[in-house]
Amino acid sequence: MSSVLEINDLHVEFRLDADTVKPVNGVSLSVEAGETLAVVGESGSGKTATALSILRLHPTPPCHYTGGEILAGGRDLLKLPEREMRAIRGNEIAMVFQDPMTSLNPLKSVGAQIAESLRLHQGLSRSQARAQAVQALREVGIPNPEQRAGEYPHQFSGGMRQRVMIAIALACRPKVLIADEPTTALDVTVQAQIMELLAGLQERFGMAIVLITHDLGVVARCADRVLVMYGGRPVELAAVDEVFAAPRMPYTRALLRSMPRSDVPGGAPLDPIPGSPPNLFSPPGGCAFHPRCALALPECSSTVPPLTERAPGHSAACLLEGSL
Amino acid sequence: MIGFIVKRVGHTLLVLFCVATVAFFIVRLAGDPVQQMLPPEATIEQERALRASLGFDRPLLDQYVSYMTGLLGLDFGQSVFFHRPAFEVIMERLPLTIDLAVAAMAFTLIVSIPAGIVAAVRRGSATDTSVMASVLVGQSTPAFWVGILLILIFAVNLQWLPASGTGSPAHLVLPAITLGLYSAAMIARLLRSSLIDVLGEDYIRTARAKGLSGFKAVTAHGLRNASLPVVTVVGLEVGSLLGGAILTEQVFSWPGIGRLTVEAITYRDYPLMQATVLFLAAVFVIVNLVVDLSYALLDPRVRLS
Repeated sequence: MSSVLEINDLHVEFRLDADTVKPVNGVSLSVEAGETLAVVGESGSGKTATALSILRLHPTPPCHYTGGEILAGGRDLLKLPEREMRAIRGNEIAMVFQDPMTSLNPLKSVGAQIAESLRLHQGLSRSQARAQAVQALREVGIPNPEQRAGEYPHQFSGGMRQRVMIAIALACRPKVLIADEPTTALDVTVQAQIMELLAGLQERFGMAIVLITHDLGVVARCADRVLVMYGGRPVELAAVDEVFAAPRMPYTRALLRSMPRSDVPGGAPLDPIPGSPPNLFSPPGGCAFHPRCALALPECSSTVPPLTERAPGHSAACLLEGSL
Repeated sequence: MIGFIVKRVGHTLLVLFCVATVAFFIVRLAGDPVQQMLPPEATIEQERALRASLGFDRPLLDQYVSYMTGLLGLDFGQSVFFHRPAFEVIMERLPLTIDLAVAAMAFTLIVSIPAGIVAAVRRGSATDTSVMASVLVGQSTPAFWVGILLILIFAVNLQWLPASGTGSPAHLVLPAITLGLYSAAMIARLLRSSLIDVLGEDYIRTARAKGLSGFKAVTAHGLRNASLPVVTVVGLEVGSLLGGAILTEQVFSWPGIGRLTVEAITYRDYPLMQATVLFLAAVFVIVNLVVDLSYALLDPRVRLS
């Protein structure tokens, strides 16, 4: 099956007054229709920077896309003029953001906010768009959608607002949905409902999902494949079972060990990763993880290991061979 | 809604009662109108007769009670100087002040809204810097000086526009610019900072992610959110414009409420002074009410709570 979105060796820089920060360094990924790719990593690992780059939503300047390509529908999105890029945003590739409390315009009814992209991309009339918006609200499980469409964001709970965000994103039936930590700002019970909703809609509409998260529980439940990022680089890419069963990059292993587990009787003690994530203003030389890595070799501080395939469908960026 | 209106009307009446009371006593500190009106060679008897005819010989409290009773019947008293009802004198001048206020506000909005938007959208650029520099000049230049300068340039040297007086739309241009310059600077600055805050909001990013252009995201999602604090200030500016621009009206010999206020003070015309103060207070109270109602119109969170 061919991928609906493919990123090859993406490099992104923020040129600030005094410094240049490189939040994305050589990220490659691809996702197929109906597939969910989880992108995981700590804060500052470049997950969200990568996600926003796909739709070119970073303000430029200071942002510059300095290398690589983002392929969707046979085009390189980084080379498209802004006008053509606008026709892709919200239409072929849509995005759901982290905080539903602030991501909706408080002064517009939710129906109008959904109808906006339908009118823009599908040229629907006001009344057609309004009817479609009601339908979109019904699809994301909002009760009484005819009435709710005329209500404003402050009349919705957090979980309901995220459903509205999903309705906006899926209104034009995109091929790719980028979900940037869609459940982080929500209660745990609501989180599960939202992830179930996304999975159900994916089954129905067949879109690919790029799921940005730092919640490995969500990854285990929802993802097909996982891309682990650290310091702006992809460090491990594999099917979800492989990553949990046999991680090949010490960072992935450390990340798994630092999570509470429900399958170990009595609960295993948590094993935090020592140190802090790399400072993007002065990243360490070599592998960005080496200062915190228990298995670091002397050459780790000078060599950046490339992401190479270790087993079919399982790549890792580490000088250590074999599974850990 | 009815409860809200009843409450607001009660509040308005209370404010006007307090203003009328304070105005009544304060104006009497301005000096004696009878002394002012009489020639120096007038006799004591003549002075006493005039005082009695104007009612200023009665006890202060007595005067106050009859003034307040008159107000209940919309009687603002007789202007001592114009020998006509004070209300009538104000109403006669009001159209001119309204003309000037409307022209000044139009100038303010036409200049400040585009300037504020451009400065916010191109934040940090040369355009932003020049807008902000103009704002600084506009806010720190006194109206009387701007007025005189405009007269010098456009009326005296270029002879494009009349220097003073009323009668044609051309007469409005210089006073309206003089009067609107300060508000334009203030509102441009306010809109810029408010819009900069709004443009950083997540819902602007959502709008861009939907495929809206940067321009459309600003106009369809940014402006209305950014206008909330601006509406308050525009309202207060409209209030002060309607209350009469004392300096500008003086510089351009514009016979509106502002000049009338100055005349009333010069002639120690107690009833007229009281009436102009009360008029100004009423304008502000009404403008505030309109601002509150427009909030409800703009923001569903206000309307529905």
